[in-house]
Amino acid sequence: MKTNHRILLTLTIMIGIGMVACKKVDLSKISSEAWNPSLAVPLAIGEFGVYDILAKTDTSDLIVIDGQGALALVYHSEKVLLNASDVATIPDQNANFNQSAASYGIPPFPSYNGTQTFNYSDVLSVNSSGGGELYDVDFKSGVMTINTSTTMLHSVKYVLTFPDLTENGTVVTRTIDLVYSGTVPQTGSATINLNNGFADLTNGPNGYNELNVNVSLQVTGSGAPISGIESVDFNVNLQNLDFDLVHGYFGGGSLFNVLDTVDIKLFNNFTSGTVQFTNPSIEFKFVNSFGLPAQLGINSIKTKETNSGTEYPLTGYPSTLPINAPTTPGQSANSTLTLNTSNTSNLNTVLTPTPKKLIYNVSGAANPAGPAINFVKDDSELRLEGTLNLPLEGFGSGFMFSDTVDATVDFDPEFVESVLLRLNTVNGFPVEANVKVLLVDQNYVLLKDLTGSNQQIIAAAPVNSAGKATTTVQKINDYQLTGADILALKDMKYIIFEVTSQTFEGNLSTIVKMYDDYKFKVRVGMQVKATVNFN
Amino acid sequence: MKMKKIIFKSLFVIHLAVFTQSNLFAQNNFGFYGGMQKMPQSHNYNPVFNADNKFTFSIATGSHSFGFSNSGFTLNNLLVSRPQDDSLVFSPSNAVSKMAKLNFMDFHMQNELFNFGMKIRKMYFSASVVNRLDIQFAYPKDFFLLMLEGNGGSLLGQRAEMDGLGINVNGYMELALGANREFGDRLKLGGRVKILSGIANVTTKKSVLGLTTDATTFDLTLDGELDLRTSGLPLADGESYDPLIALKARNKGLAFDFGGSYKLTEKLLLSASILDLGSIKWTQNINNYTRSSFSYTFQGVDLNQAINDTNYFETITDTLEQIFKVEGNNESYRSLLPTRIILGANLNLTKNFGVGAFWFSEFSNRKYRPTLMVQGSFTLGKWLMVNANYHISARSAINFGLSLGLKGAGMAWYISTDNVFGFISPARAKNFHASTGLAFCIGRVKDKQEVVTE
Repeated sequence: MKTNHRILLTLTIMIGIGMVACKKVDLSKISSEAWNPSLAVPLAIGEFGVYDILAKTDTSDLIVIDGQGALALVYHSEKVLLNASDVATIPDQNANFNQSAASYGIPPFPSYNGTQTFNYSDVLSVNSSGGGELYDVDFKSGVMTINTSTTMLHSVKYVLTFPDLTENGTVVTRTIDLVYSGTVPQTGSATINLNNGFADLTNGPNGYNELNVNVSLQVTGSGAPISGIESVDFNVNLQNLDFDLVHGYFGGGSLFNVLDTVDIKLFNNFTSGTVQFTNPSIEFKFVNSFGLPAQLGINSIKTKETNSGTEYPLTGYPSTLPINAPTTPGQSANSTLTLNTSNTSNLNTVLTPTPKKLIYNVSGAANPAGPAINFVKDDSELRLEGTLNLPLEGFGSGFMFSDTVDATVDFDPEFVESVLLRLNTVNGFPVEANVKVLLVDQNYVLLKDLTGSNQQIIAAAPVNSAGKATTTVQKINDYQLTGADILALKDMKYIIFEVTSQTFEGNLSTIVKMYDDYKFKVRVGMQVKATVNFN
Repeated sequence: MKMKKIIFKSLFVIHLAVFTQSNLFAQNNFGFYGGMQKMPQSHNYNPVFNADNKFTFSIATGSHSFGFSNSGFTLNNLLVSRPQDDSLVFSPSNAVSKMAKLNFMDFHMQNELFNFGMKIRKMYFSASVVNRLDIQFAYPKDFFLLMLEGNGGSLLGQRAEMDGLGINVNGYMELALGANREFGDRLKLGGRVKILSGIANVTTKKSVLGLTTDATTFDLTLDGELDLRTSGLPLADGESYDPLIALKARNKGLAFDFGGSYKLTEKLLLSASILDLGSIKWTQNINNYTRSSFSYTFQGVDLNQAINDTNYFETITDTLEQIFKVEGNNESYRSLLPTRIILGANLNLTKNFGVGAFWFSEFSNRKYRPTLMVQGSFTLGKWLMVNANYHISARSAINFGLSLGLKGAGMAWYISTDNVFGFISPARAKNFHASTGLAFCIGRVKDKQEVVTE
């Protein structure tokens, strides 16, 4: 029984202690701790190759890859120096052949009856507007109008023949029959469509610019007299002449004098910096479809740094170049002059101060070897293709770029304790970049220097002795915005980016080469710490 | 004696009034493993336990239990005293710190509608009808950690493991037929066959969900897999739901209980039971939802695509829609019952006092949940039984159970809880449980000692 009592007592004490030890919850006195979630999210990812980067500034230019994958930027400019109308144009023209009956060999008659034929020949001048000598013309279009007029008191039939003018291969002949009706002058006309017509202008006395015309005049008498002074006139009017092909000699004077500019957009966004390309070249290529040889003269070549306006003249280059001409109409002949570091004195130097423009002035003279048979086709042109070839090999430093973008904060900063922006770059290019990011208000008063001293966001990939990058370099930068910063950002209006860039050890003149397999990867992440107080 | 009858009749009336009007929950009722093994309801926990009466029965009053447990945290973990004053601070961070990797919030309900037991010589026969409902919500610690800290706190660089997040519901009616037999003076074996009729079920067969945040890039990788099966629930959009479907349920199942005891000495009894070994095949009103294994990593807006593809953001939206697209089907399925294995030993110290130790193992949804219990019991004559126990379960070491059983005037009434602190100090308790029952008992089977005395 004693054992029973002990066990009962022990159980009672245990239960009693348990009940006393239990503290009850007073639910009327509950407050809450702050909620401090932290959210980490990736914002953006991108991988960019050479094309992605350069295409942003050089959409109209070419990126050329050689067999080893090395890259070159090719800036191209094209200009038509001459077209057909600049060299040969046959204007509208008019020729009057005013003769008397005696000129046709018609003797005087007191009363003329019957029918007789009299002949007359002359030369029609066909001139070009440039003063060139025309040898033959293959017309594409044009109209020849012949007007006749006579004061003879008889019926007169004009038969005009142009032995050197053919129409679809047939000599052109037109008859104008004037039947006397008692009034004078008697007039008539005829037209010749020169479409597909061909004129040989070399059979006149001068051997050029002349078209023979023969007139056969048949006079049928009316019984009236012939004094011999009656007029027997005709007129030839040429209008709207256009040619397919013309041969001739177009002189030896100046053909063109042109000033042209090639924009080097690679450096457009940089305010300063120097670059030295190892192997740049400038190419002038003339594409000539005139049967007209010429001589190129290079008057000046220079680069211009547009911010300062400073010009850097190129010197030591060959000053002339024969511009070849094709021997067959419809073909073209190319002539190329390439300027590089070997045939110029200072090509590297003029390209060093991050030039924005290449400016050249060239002129040309025709037939440098003296008179020759030239030809001009209706679509002939002389075209100059200027090319600046920049193999991306060399070194550069001090590239500076600045930009301002509109930016406002549209979230409620009350709950944001801090924001961490993480920029993670993996760079395969031998180019580094330091960036200063300034957050400013509408008066450009600095609110926050985001990057502070931590400005190198892209580290350059190191290169080997051949200038090729050997590895990628990762750079992770964290940029912290405190609660105070975030509150201040309510007034933010702009973000100013100030970028300074250089090639790998560009300040030490280490040569780097750009290859098409270089990649630049960027990842942006954000970590936001929030605070929500429930009290 | 008259007073005794009045008391029991009053208890009977109260019991009917309270527990037939509400659905209550059931748990382990640890008290039945101690001094209350002679109560009729103990048969539900080991088929070899039965009342020392020739005939017992109950209609609607036999046994009603309800329980709630939360393995993750207590109210005290969530509401922390502030040192500078006596106010409480709502502290989810403290609650989360107390959680295990995967935590369970369980609701149990058990209503015995009919019970019958009869002793014939060395055999005991039983029959019962019980309505049972188990609801379990499984929640991973990282799920709350993610909501509390975000992915940029301690989860940065790790996978927020929300595997196992899900809900399991099992509601069914059980018709049990049982028998046990004594083999000599020491050994007793028994078993029950249970014919089950399923009412509603939710089975989270597979739930994988993870969010990994890369520590350097903050890339977010979402991975997951889902296999959720339901029966008898109005989950499908726009689908009309007939609440009476429960009464028309035709989801058939079968389960077994096995039990045995061995009296090693006159004072030491060893016992073991396997309960609810079986399954239900769900065929009615099926709505299953599956998503095959997926993994998607968001690395941020792809600048290359955003620049070149004007429809880029629509593409992202389409991708996300595909990721979270859940397939549905109406295929029948089978769910296993949560099976329990109980091993125990009772030692009678004196005629009135006894102690015991028990090991409970529950296997549910391929997860093992053990409970270790020690208990002491006090019996007074044949009419008063008191049991006190202490157990460790659901990652809680503060669980004291208390049971009281009264027998007399042809009735047996009990009231029990597996954790008395659930009433005394609910803020500290992870488990809350209560059960009660009243059965009629006719005739008494005399034990060997009484027979010898006579």
